[in-house]
Parts: sequence; C-alpha cells; structure tokens
Amino acid sequence: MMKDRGLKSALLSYFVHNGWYPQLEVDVKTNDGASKIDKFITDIDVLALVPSVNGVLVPLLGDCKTLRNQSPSNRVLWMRGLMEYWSAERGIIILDKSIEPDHKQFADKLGVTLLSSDDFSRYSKSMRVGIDDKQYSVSDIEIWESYFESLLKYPQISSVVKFVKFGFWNEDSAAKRLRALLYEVRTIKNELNPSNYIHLALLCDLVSLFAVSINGIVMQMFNRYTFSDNKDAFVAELKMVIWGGHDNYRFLNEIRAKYSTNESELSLPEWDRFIYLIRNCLESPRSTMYSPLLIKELAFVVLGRRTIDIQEIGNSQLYVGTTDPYAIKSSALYVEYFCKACKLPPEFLDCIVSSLLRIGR
Amino acid sequence: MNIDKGLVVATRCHDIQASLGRKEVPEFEVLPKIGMLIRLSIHLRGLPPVKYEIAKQVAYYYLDIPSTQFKELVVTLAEIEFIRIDKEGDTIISILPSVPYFDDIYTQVGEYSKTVSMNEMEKLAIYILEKLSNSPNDRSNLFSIGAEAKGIKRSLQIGEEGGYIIQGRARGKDIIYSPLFFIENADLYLDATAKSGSNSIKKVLELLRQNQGWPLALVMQTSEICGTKLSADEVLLLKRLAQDGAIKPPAITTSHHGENYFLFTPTPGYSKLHPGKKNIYEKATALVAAVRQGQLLPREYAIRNPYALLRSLKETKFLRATTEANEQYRALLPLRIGYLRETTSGYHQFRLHDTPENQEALEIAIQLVAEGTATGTEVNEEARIALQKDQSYIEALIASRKIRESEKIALSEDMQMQIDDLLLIGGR
Repeated sequence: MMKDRGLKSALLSYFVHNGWYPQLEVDVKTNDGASKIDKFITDIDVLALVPSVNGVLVPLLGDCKTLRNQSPSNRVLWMRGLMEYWSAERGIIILDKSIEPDHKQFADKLGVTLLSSDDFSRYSKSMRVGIDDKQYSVSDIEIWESYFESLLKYPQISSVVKFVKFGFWNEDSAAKRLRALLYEVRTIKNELNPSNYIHLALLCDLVSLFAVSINGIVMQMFNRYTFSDNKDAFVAELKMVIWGGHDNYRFLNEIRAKYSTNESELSLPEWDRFIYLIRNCLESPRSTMYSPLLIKELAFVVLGRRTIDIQEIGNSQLYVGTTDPYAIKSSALYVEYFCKACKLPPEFLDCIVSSLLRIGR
Repeated sequence: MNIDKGLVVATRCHDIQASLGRKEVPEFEVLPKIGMLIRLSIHLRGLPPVKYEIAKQVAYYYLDIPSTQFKELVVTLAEIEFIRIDKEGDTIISILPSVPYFDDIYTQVGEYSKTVSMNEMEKLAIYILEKLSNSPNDRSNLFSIGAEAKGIKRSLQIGEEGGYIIQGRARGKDIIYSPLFFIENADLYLDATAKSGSNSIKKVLELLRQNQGWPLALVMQTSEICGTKLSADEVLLLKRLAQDGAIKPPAITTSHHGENYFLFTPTPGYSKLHPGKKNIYEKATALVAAVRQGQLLPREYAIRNPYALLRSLKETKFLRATTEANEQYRALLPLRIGYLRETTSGYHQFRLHDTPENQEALEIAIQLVAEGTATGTEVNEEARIALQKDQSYIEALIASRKIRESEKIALSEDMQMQIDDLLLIGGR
C-alpha cells in the first residue's frame, strides 16, 4: 500500500474534481546528471496540470506527509525549490498535523498552500468547481495502486512504464516530450496486445501524455501567433517547434541524410496526419487543455472495469470534454495519429475512438 | 516431420543456400550442395558452351559458389545430365549446358536429392523453412513438431545467422518468419499471425496464390475470394494489406467502378526474385491487375479468359480495340509497358512496347494468372552475361562490381525506421 495513502487520495480527488490532469508519485531526476542509471533526487506525491491564462497546462505540485519531526516551513522551503526547478507557480502541502499560522503565512508568500488534513477537507470542498459528487475512476487511488502493480507483470514494456511514471515528466519541453514518447512507444509497439485490458489502459494513458504534449506545442504556436495559412510556411514553423529550432533541425537532418537513402526530409512518422492534427487543434486551441484528462479517465475506466469492452461508457462518466465537442474530436484525432504513427494493432484505434465518439453523442 | 518430397527439399535447399551465401554451417553437408546445384543450373540453362575457368569465377563472384566445391558440382551436374563436360585428360576445358527447358529444375534436382541422405539438422532446417514459407509462425508452436528442443533452437539460430529466419514480436508473442517470403510489410503479417494464428494467413495466401490480382472491392463486398468464404478477420487482414501499401501495382480508376486495388501474394524475397527483376515483377502484377479489372469489374463486356488474353498480347503485341481499354490499361502507361491507340471513336487498342523486359513481365503475368507463382525470376542476368564472355570481361566486371559494393546500400524499411526513431530523441 502507498505511503500517506489517505492524504494522497484526498489530494488526487481534489485535483480531478477541479478538472485538472493528475499524476501520482512522480520521481524527479536531472537530465543533465552524470549517473548512467536513473538516480532520483526526490519525488512529487501528486502532480496536477492546471489550465493557465494563456491556455498552457502548467504544473501544480502536491505533497502529502505525516511528518512528525520536521518543521512545516522546512517542507515549504523544499517545495519552493522544487517549484523553481519545475517552473511551477503553485504548490500545495498537506500535513497530518496542526500547523501554526506563521508557517502558513510564510508558505503563502512563497506560493505554497500549507494545510493540515483537517483544513484540507474544508478547503477542498469550498474550492471545487461546481457541485459534483461523481466518482471518477482517475481519482480512485485503489485503481492507481492496482495499475502500477499490474504493469510490473510485463517486463517487456518496462521502458515505457518508466517513461509514463517519470521519464515524460522530467523532459523539459513539450516537443521533447512528444518525440521521446513516440520513440518509446515505437520501440515496444510489438509488445502491446489489444485484447489485454492493462495494455489498452496503458495505451490510453500514453495518448493522454501525447495530448499533454500537443497542448504545449499548439499553445506555443498559438500564443506566438506566427503560424501561417500557407501550408509550406506552416510546416516549416511546425518543424522548428518540434525539433527545437532551425539549427537543431538542420543538424539532425544532415545526420539522417548521411545514413539514409530515403531522400525525404526529417519529419515525425505519419507527418501529413500530424500536420492536419495540429492545424485542426489551432481552430480551437483551448480545447487542447481538456483532452488529456478525458483520455486519462478513459484509461482508468478500463482499469476499473478490467475489460477491453468500453463501448458503453456513456456521458456521465467524464467531467470535462462532454461540453466541448472540439475536445472529443481532438482526442479522437490524437488516438488515430498515435496508433498509426506507432504502428499499433488497429483494434486499439477502433476500440478507443468508438468509445470517445459515444461520449460525444 | 515429413519432408520426403523431392521438390520441397530442392526448393528449400536453394532458398537456404541463396541466403547463406558464402557462410558455412558446420552441421550442413548435403543441403548446400543441392542448393548450389540448382543455383548453377538455373544460370546455365540455355547457354552455349562455357569455358570452365570462366564458369568457376562467375560462380564464385555472382553465385557465391566456393571454387573448392565447383568441380564436384560440375561432376554431379554431368551425372544428372544437366551438362556435358569437355575434358583433356583430367582437366575440364569447358562445359556444355543441357539443362532441360520444359522440366522444372527444382523437380529434377529434387529427384537427385532422394538418392543422397541428409542429416537431422538439414531435415529440420528444411522442415522449418517450408512451414515458414506459408506464413509466419508462433515460435512456441515450432517446439511441438516432434523434434528435440535443442535441435530446433540450433536450427533457428542457424536461420537467424544465415539471414533466412527472423524472430520478431507482435502482441507480446515471439513470432518467427522468413524474409525470403515476407520481405515487405512483415510487421503486418506478424501482427496477423499473433492475432489469428498462422493457419488463417496460410489460407488467405493460398487463396490469393490461386487468384492473383483479385480486386479488394470484391472481397469487401462478398467476403470471399472466388467462391471461398473468408472470416471477418481474414477480410480485415486483406484490407490492412491494401491500406498499408502492400499492394504494389497502381490502383486502377475507372468511371464505372471508381478506384480499385488488386491483391497479390507477398513479393518474393531474394532467393526467388533477384533484386534486378523487382521492377519487372511489379510490371507483371500491374498487367495482371489491369486484366482482372476487365475480368471482374468491367463496365459492360467482361474478359472471359485472362490467360488467353495475356497469351494473345504476348504473341500479337496488341489487344483488340474495345470501349473499355482506355480506362482499363491507362495505369500501365507510366510503367512503359505499352501505349493506347484510338482506332475509332471511343475504341482503344492496347499495344505492347516490345522490349525484352516487357516480354519477361508478360511471361511472369501469364504464370501468375495460370499457376499463381512465377519461375525464372531468381536469375541474375549479369551472371548469365558474364558466363558468355571472355576472361578480360569477367575481370572488368568483377572490378566494377566491387566498386558498386562500396556504394551506400539502400536501407531496409526496418533499418530506416530505427534511424528515424533514434533521431526522435536527438538534440533539444
């Protein structure tokens, strides 16, 4: 059983009921590290991605501790350091003990909400958006526990599991996350079996991460507002965004030309489909904030029901997305692109898209 | 495990030996010899007398036949009356090919193979490759064929190192396949094997072999190929093959049936289709597609006998003008197989560009329609030309061949994907 399980469950539920994308227990490492194996510096108990004013999903760090011997303000200082490292504007700490007001004021000045578990139960009720008593699968900590445990049974896909749990979160740009994600999944594409519900759920989870990356890429293009209606110019800009600038693109393209006999330029797999996907998202860029949670919930519905038959999910299961038809359309496009780019068995695509379309009815 | 059929033995020996090239397998004794006998015979058929020394060099450089074994092969070919030897004392001066034209070389050498006994490892290698010639197989299934597990493991290892067996993964299962039979779109066949088992693929491919060029649209409409019912999974497999670009000939678009794709068995691998003949093979499949369009999806007047029509084209170099020819054969024009001539208003005649390459494509198309497979496509024409030239030509050719070998080699689809994947995580 997870450490500090009760507090984590409460924080998870709070995040999800506000429509924020959650991730439990994210290990933190530095990508510039000297160690050849993954060395973790610390971890985040519950991470949320929260819509910002400019439409980008930004991290909100959550920490839950039953610390007896550590001063709350010390924990606040730790959180502030981590927020700096992750470029997060807010952090939230829940401690299983009473906290003096001075510590709370100190925390607030540093952008951290410091609460006791009693405070949090009142705080979270008041802070929820609307009155919503639905039980979401993704806020069910039992499902998270069984998910993490089940994934251990598949050593052939352990690289992707690590990527889901921390690799993705430790990449420092949306474009890098997207490319690394495609790489990881294409590497194990032949291991995923559409008749295995754990694999189906994992795939939905991976697509939700893809959706998070797309949000970053689309909002970067939209907020700069430099994209063109001319296809060639649009594609040129998209390549620069995806490959981290012209110099990096040219360098990698030259390497490719040296070893490849394929005369086409460096691009992502299923490039035309990807161009269409991004152009489509730019029609309603804010919808890209909602798709990740929608697809993540789908993953957890599959896990909760322990079946690949997810045709009858219905509207009531999902909080966001149901009111935004663009989010559903974008989600379907993400799944389609992702499955084709990673060359996954077609049943994955059919299964996920048909259940997404049912939600939109 | 029963492999007493001479034809199967000869065919698979040739496949294995063509793939092994100059690699030696300590367990194999007779198998390489039978493979080399076929390889040499195929290239000698129809040639005038060849000087022994030239034949030896060409065999070494082009056919991967070691010089130390060449004499033994020549003597055996003389014993089975595929060649006559011209000798002076003990020295062989030249050989006169008399490889029969109308008998299949594989069958003939297969008969010879019955007179020599093979060891267990050789039999196992042939048995496994024969299984893999029909479809990829779940690795675990191979261990239930009644041979010792140790032997099977070693046989698979030889196959992998020899380049005629590849082990892949699909849907979390170990699937093995042979690139000699599934060189393109291997991923798709692997996935289908993991999903539905090898028997399903074997059935679909056997049906396609009997009905090369069957239109996908008809399969989708009727869920059958030429009267044989297909399951939903089998139809889906064919649809995926078409969608993922496994169908090589150009789609044919007509005003009456829209765009149509035509289904063929997988393009043969190296041992059956020499790389230099790939374009010719694609022309042949395009010809078959055009004829199937007229046979199965006509506007009004259907082609009744595709075989007779192709034979007639081969002999007369043109097809009778019809009102349907324009749309039916238009896709063949960019491939430079032939051209269309309007005779009277609305009537077009298809005329063949009479080149050796197109003649060969037409012959392959006829074989595909009649028998489902093509023969003679494994011949390396360069080797045959070299066999008919003198020593200086051979030396120049060998030198130029070495230069070409050092040029950039075209990457396989899989290798290209691996490079592109690595570049995904490159840089910032």
